[in-house]
Amino acid sequence: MSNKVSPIVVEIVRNALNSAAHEMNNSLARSAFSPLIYEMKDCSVGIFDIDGQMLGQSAGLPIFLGNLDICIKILNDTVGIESHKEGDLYIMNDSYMQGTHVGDFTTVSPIFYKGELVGFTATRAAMLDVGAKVPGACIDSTDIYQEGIRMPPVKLIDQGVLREDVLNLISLNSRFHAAMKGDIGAQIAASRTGEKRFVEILDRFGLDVVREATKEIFRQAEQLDREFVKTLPDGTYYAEGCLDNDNYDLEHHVKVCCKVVVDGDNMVIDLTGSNPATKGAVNCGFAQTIAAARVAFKELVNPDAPICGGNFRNLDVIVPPGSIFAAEEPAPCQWYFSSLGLLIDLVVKALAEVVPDKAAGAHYGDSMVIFFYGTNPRRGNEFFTSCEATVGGWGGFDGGDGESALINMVNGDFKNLPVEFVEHTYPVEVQCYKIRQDSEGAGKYRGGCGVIRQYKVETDDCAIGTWFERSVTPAWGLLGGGDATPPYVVIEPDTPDEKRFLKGADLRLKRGSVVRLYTGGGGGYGDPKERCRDAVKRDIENGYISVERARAVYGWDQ
Amino acid sequence: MSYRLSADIGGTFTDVVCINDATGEYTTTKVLTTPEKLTNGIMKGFDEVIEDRYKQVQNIVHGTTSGLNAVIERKGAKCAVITTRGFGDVLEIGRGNRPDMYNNRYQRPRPLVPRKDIYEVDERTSADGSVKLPLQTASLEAIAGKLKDGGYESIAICLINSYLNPENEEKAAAWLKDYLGEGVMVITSSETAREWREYERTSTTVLNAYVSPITKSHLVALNTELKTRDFEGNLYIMQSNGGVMKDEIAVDKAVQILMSGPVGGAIGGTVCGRKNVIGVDMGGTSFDVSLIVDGQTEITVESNVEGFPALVPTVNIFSIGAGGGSIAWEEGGGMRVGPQSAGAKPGPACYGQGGTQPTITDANLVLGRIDPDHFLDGRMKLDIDAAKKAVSNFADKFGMDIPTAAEGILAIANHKMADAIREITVRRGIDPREFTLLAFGGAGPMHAAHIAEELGIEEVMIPAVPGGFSAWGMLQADIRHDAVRTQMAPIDEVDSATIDGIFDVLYEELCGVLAKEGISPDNAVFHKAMDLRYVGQEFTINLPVDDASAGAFDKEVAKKNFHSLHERLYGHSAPGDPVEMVNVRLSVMAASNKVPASPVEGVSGEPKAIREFPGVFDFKEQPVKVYNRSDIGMDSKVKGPAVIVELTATTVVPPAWTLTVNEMGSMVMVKE
Repeated sequence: MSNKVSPIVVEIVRNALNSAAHEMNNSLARSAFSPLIYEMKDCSVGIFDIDGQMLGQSAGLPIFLGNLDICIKILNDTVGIESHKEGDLYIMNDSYMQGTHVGDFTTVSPIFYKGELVGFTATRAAMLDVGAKVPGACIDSTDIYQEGIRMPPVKLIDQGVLREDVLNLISLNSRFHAAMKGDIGAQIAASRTGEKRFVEILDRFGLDVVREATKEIFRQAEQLDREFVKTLPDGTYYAEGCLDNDNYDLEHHVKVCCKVVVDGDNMVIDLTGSNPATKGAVNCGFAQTIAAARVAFKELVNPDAPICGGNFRNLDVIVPPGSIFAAEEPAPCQWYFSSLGLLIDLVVKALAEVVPDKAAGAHYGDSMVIFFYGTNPRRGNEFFTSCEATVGGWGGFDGGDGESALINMVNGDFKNLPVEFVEHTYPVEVQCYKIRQDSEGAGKYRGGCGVIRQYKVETDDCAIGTWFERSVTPAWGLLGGGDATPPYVVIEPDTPDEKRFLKGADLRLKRGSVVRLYTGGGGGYGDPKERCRDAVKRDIENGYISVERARAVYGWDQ
Repeated sequence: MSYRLSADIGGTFTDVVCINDATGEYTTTKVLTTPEKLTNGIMKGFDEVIEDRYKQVQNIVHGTTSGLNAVIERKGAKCAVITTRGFGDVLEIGRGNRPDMYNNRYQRPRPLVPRKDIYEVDERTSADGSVKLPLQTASLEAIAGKLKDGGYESIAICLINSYLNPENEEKAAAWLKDYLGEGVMVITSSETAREWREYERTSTTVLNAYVSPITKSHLVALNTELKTRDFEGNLYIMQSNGGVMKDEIAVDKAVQILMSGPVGGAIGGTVCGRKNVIGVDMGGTSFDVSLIVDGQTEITVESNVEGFPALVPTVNIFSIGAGGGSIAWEEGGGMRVGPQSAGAKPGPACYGQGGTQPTITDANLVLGRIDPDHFLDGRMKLDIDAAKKAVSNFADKFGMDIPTAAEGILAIANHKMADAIREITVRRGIDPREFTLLAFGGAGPMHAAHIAEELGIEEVMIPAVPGGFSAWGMLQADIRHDAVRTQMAPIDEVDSATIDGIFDVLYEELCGVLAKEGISPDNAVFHKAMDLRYVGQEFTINLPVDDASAGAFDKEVAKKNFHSLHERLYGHSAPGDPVEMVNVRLSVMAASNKVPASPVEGVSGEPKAIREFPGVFDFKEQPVKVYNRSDIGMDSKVKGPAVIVELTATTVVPPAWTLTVNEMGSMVMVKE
């Protein structure tokens, strides 16, 4: 405990910093042009101290937790911390620096107080289009140059003066110039909001008090992290799995290895053995690999508490050079989150036996994306493009069944598109959207079910792209629980032209073509034979499980 | 002599207010809510204030959380859902999202209707509104037996694209009503919420079907009791939209009253004599913030009922998990306050019901900001020793004395509430310093001055009867009804006559409802609005279009107003970009007989403190004077530190603040 600052003030400052970060996020959402930001919350903001340690954060998506600090360090290493001037703002998006795909832009801006550098604000937001080889996102990129513009830290605002030439250069690389300018403007506004609120907090409490309070806030967070890890038995825990493929080399699975070492109150997540970098776009920048490891840690430790620079000090991540998790030029990174989603699930799997009260069977795993594009005869043959993520089942856990039909872990509060929206907006009819019976991982506590969603094409000019994953390592069960049924996509089902696949780029369809998506369920927990008979009966009555499957797997004898 | 009565039924207490129409004088009482039969509690309260004068009561307004409680406790009606083949899981799948970011054990709210009670029928309406497959009666006949024998009290019919064309829903409803008879309520999605998005519309309809039968039997019971007491006036029900409607209309629109609980206070805020008001209502478990800008409440077109979306116009109330019962605790050597609450049981330590953790109420008590002998006007005795013990255990963890720790708890809580208000207002481009803070609810006036100080707000107002303010506010509400149609198209592609035509249809629909209210359209005011957005956006903005529709609808005026509203709300606009219309809305209001509150009469001069006891402010022990509110008159002036007690609330006047009474009988605090 600090001698100088009362715990009351520490707590007031802690809440004020988090509130300031929320306000930054509100400011970003309020002024953004792109629904990716204001609707899907594909963004993250934070306020940082002079060492780049987080004081307050507000993340829209789980996967955006905690790697803005690395961007600040990269900036300071690149331009030198002494070169910052009041009113500067930098922008960057290089995958190998910020970690995510180039579609996300990161800004960093120094905060000055009475002429002294005292910290930074940082924001990250997804852009609608960054000039990839196709609109939106590539499914089959084989190097990063196909994925859009790539920027190291570039000074966008010089001592309060916007560099129009730089802004024009960046926005000219997007298919939507005005929207990109608007969204960058929203990031600038958010950054300024954070700066203003931080300065107000300094005015109110004084720089010295805030610095002392910050030390104590960090100490508390670190103590909580350490207290939790200390409850785990020392040892080495391991889990591995693989992605189906990188969508370039279809013959080989992409391996993810995850060794977790617990030693006293420290934890190491070691990814040694994971796949070398691939030609297809499942690579990930180092910074985002760290973020994903932190997300996994966060799932286990105080999931509801806000994070700060004191967190993760007892977490070390070993990332093998040359692997998919430390992508280097020119490895493509568009689908980085497929690898990271698996990594997060595997950390929980590795530790499942020692954290039974936090673990759950695996969830269906990936975003299960389908794109439709072509021309829309109902709207004067104008070009349309749609992008949907598809829901699936989550894992069962000690005390409860997994949910059916939820969005995947890394996508948080993301919403699916309503059938009535899809039919109104695009030339397709949705023919069904329903729970996929018997797709759950069986268990004493069963996994949730995936879904079936079927479309019929109502235009002569249409193509689809799909990114479905996790058929080779479907959602696994825990402690005797069964694995769930994997996903797939089928076109023209029940006809001679029927074709099954998972990932597909630019598949041309004709009017009347049918596309049916099957997403996987979640893994089960515990022996299905021990499942409460009333629960089995209810599952049959409600059609989650067929009587045949109940008899075969759950030992149902009625 | 005529009177109006209102009852605000909360989870623990029912507040009752009786206004004398001629003088504006009112009496209030607070009785225990009787969840097993709400009528008992209500009538006990009514009897107390009106005695045998029911014949002279013109109007009764009644706001209830009974429907909401039925949802929370899953004690609603047994319902079936009829939907389009292939889409039986709309209700369970929802939008697939989850609010808990890092929780791998997330469980969504259990659907109100289990999968086995959802039936699919053969029918289909296309996205252009045409019927692609007429309702196949054979598929209804196939499930008829199950529907009849299933013990269903209500049936919700929710078909894909019925927002465009309700034909198939109406056919199914007619068939089912005929087949099932009077005993089963049949409700269609197109009559409940004729808006697009199948999950939100289905959820709204199912909520309606789930709570309507209960609401109906409650209203029947209440009517019966009132009849036996010779009540001959109108019984109105408070709606989530801030208006009231007659009880017989409420019977099959129960979804519209689900979120009416905290609305009365916001309506009261619109007639408190200030144009710009931040209303704060603090009770045992929550802290509700409402905004009144330029005399108007903010209405949102979609709300959330226990995790289920409801397409029901609702007064926007922001709830923060901080109340008198919020618990102070230690984590990692740090102090934390809330969001966990001791609730009503065991409640704060000072309730003496076995609570051992210190709460905000306990902190207020040990600091002398609540008079233990005058809590709830002396109806509940507080155990100050239990409060001290709880706070003392907490203080020891930080090596503090009791008063310091207690002030710390309150300081943390007050800052949190101020932070939350700042986020809400700044997000809307509003500067809180230009507002009056109106505090009500049992605990609101205890914290108001401190919160105002944090926000730079200069004036704090505490209405007469702060604890019953929501019930009082209900008596200020107008009759209100809303109608909506989804019409999606770029506004430039729709001719103005079409839009006028939609408004005409909505007008006829609302006139039908007005007729049931016994009101002529000439005595009502209609407001036109549209939900608009830029093409490509998902979110819409609700734009009033009265001035664009004085004669024939004027698109150019509507577009111009849309751009400027977008600019105000989001900080940018794109006047060159195409604007899309999504929903067309018409609302109608018929004014109620508003009576201004009257000041307390007959009291004047400096009030006399009923007692003085040691309190703590700014970490210093200071004597605190305790006053009865009834002793404070128009010319009174009370300097802090002081505490003002009354039946429904306690007001804290901190040092350096002065309290006076205004012309409406409200107490006003300002800092010197």
